[in-house]
Amino acid sequence: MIVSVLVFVHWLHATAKSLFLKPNRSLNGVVPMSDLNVKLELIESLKGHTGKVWCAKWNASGTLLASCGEDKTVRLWGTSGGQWKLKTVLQDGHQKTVRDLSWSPCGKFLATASFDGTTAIWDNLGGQFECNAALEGHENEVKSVSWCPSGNLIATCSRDKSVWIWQVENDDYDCAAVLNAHIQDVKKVAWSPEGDVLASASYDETIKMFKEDPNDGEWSNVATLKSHNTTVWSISFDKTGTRLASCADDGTVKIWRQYLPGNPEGVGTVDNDPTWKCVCTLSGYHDGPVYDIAWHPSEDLIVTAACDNGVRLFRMEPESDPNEPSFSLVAANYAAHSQDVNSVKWHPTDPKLFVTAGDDSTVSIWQVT
Amino acid sequence: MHFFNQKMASRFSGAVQIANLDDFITPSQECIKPVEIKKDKSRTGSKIRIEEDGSYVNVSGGVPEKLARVDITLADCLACSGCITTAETVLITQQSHDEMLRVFRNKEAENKELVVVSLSLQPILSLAEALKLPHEICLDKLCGLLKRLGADMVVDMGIAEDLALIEEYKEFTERYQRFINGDKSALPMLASTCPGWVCYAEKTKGHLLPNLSSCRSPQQIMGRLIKGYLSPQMSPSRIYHVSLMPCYDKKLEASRSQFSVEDSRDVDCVVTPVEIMSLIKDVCGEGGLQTEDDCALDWPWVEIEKCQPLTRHDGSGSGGYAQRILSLTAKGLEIESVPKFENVNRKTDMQVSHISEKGQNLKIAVVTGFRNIQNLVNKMKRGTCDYQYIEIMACPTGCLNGGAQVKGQLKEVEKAFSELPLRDVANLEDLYSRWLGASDSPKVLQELHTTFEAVTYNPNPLGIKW
Amino acid sequence: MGGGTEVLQNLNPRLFVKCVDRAVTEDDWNENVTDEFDSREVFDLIRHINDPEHPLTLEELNVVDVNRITVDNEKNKIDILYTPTIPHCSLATLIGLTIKVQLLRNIPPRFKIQVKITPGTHVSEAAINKQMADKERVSAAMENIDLIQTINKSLIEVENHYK
Repeated sequence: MIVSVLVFVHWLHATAKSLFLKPNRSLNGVVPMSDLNVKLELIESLKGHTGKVWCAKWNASGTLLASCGEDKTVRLWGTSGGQWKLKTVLQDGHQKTVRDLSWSPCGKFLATASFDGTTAIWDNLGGQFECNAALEGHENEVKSVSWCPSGNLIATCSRDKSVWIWQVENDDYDCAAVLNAHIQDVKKVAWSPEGDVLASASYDETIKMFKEDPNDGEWSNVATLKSHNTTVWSISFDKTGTRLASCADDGTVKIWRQYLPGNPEGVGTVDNDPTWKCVCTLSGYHDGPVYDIAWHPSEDLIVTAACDNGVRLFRMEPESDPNEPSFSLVAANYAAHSQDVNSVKWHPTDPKLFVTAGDDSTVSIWQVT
Repeated sequence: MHFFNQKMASRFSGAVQIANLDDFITPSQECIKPVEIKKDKSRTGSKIRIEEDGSYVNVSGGVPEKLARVDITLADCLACSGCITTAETVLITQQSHDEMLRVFRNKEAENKELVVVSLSLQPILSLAEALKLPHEICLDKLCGLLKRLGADMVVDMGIAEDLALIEEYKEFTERYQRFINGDKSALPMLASTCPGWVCYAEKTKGHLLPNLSSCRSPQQIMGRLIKGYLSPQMSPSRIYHVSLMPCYDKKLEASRSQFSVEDSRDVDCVVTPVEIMSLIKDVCGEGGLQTEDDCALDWPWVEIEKCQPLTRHDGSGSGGYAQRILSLTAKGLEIESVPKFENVNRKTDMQVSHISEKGQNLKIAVVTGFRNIQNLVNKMKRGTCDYQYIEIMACPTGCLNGGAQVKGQLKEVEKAFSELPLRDVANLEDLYSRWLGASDSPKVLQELHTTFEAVTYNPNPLGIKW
Repeated sequence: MGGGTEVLQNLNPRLFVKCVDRAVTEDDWNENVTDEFDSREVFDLIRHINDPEHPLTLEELNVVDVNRITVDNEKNKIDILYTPTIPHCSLATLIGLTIKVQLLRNIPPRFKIQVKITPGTHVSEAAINKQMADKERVSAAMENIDLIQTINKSLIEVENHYK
């Protein structure tokens, strides 16, 4: 694993000019050309869903891929003979679109969030995946679900403006917090890699961070990240949890950095909580909304999924100042899907693979070469 | 044409908010309801220009005509095909301290013969803490202030609290008997004194309504005492009854159709500590409440033993329902040491006590805050709820932390509450026989109990939010 | 219509002259000629949509107009501006959604469809445009049975017209 990452990085640095950069896609007329020749190679195109596919994600070991969408089903894909094949279709768990999904870290459970207002918990304890619990309480569409890295908490969010945290205990799911911090539709929830911070992105144009008070066990909103001027569609932490990437409806991508109290840079903090500051804005790359963003599990690479059918790979300039990092586009496919791309996720163990899902009913697996 | 245009922030409990009561107006989508004031039949349509300051100008005639804004009223709101429920705004304008003052000052024009204010305990503790006054003095001064402003009578709600506790226990024993006789649906019994929880249950958990206690809350029992018992010869509409309560949701409760007689609400106006604070600022001058004359509470209940104000029942700061059910049940079973309420999950917002002696297995719980309500409701759905009686309050830890209590002083208020002298439920048999005939007469049901109704989702197809 | 809708918001809407139906050309029947989408075709899809309040079409009320439709075949974009009859019309969101649903159902999926309010014609223009552009909210709305029934009622006239 370590070897493969090093090889990958070496190869990223060594390659020459990208062939995939279209000259007419530009930032203020200038394409920030990278000295890399990175290609995105489509290695698998998985068909089977009807209608929009909203999300596709691998389990923690990367052996199973789950996808969900407008057809109300969840599809599980696995490899056989080096190829990804449909293994199972999970039906009858939801009455409406399945919008998002999240694997438990142990891989035995899968949580799915639906427009029907419920979050279903599927498990394979009986040999095959079955829906054995439903988290009810949201007033309307559940937009996102995220299992925390330690596996004992699940976060959900909804158009009802609330973020809920559920405690997982012996197959029982108790509500641990109802957080009414956002003033609009909440689009996405994501845990930091340490699992101590929950972030949420909203139609109200903010990102909020929540933390548990160790004294009384109460969750509260500890930071509000304001800089986007439109709906924030998705967020992704880097491997350290000290940086966050966000993408918005106006096509911008922002990089946020955490500053702890007493930081040497002199960024002000309140109440002993860290401050999150926007340190980089990428605009001009996407034509319209960016629906998803994923920070590479080990590298400073960010991949985006956009409404313009495109998938783009950005890399942080290795020498750039962490307080003002610069990112450049290193590869892109402007026709990754024939319609909107809704979701992008990296493979948990193979650093070159990522998966996208789109309105064109397709789940695509890509290799960075 | 006139237009409405307003914004607001929610002050109701989480349970009420989540039940979608106020979901129709979001900060970015304001209520903008046109009201036709004149119809010009000769023209078809009108052309309206929006000015930079947000005002409207009718430019379809010769001379541009600036259109005025008006305030929203309940009638407009109900007639509006657009947003249906702006209940919050409406309640707050119809039941505010301004509205209270307006009636106080125009008693004759409003045709009010008697103005009564009923005080509950939690707001007095909150105000005393906020004003840094000993609570006895705060109560006397508040009494004086209300009298100066126009109240004819200021009374303590303790008598209604006692009636509520008596009726609650009666209903529990009756349900418990039914349960023992095989009617498993009789329990658990869920307290219904918190209007936030009742609103949530009616809107989203209709199947639980049979489990709700049918007893009226102290506020609504007080309403019947004032409008039905105090001066039976006076038409209820001639009495103006104000209550001081710890939360905004109580305004909602006072507006329920079950609590009106002859189109007169049993409680006309609910005010809260937060509003009293701004009232004091408005009418007391620089010296604040301290400069008001002292005045003692009235006790209009002839030949009924006086209930001491600023005393409390054992148990929670929300009335002590669960504690009394527990104590009396233990007593009935001749259990000597009454079990205590223990925190669940190291938090004080959910507590359970367990009677396991003498072959009994009784669990009585206090569940507060929306999160715990949610878990309780889910447990009931899964059939894993093993409590027999549950005191449920929408605000975390209960009424001392009511949504309209002065913020940021909960610990101090809790401490003040815990130091109050305890009192037992008074012997009110005389009151029962004078007012209601007997403790089991049909009039008891009519005056001290109520009903609930599931609210079915029946959206105006043109106003569905999406 | 549901309860409480007796009071019409705009009692006397101004009526506009309808444009003539598009003349069918020989090329329309010719399978060998690739049809580029044009604004007129888009207009024909939405002009007969019924206003939810009046027994009138969006064309008659001048809510939609062929000149406020832009079609870019190369970039696969269709932009539509619609004009609510009055600037405080509480049904503006519903009308916009109805137009969007009609197009999503009838335009090839390669097109990105944008439905917006004609600038300066509604007090909540920004909020409505934002909601209309949110594909997730639109998708969810299309699964809301009560809402879609209302929309289908407005769209039935379109079908009737072309029967």
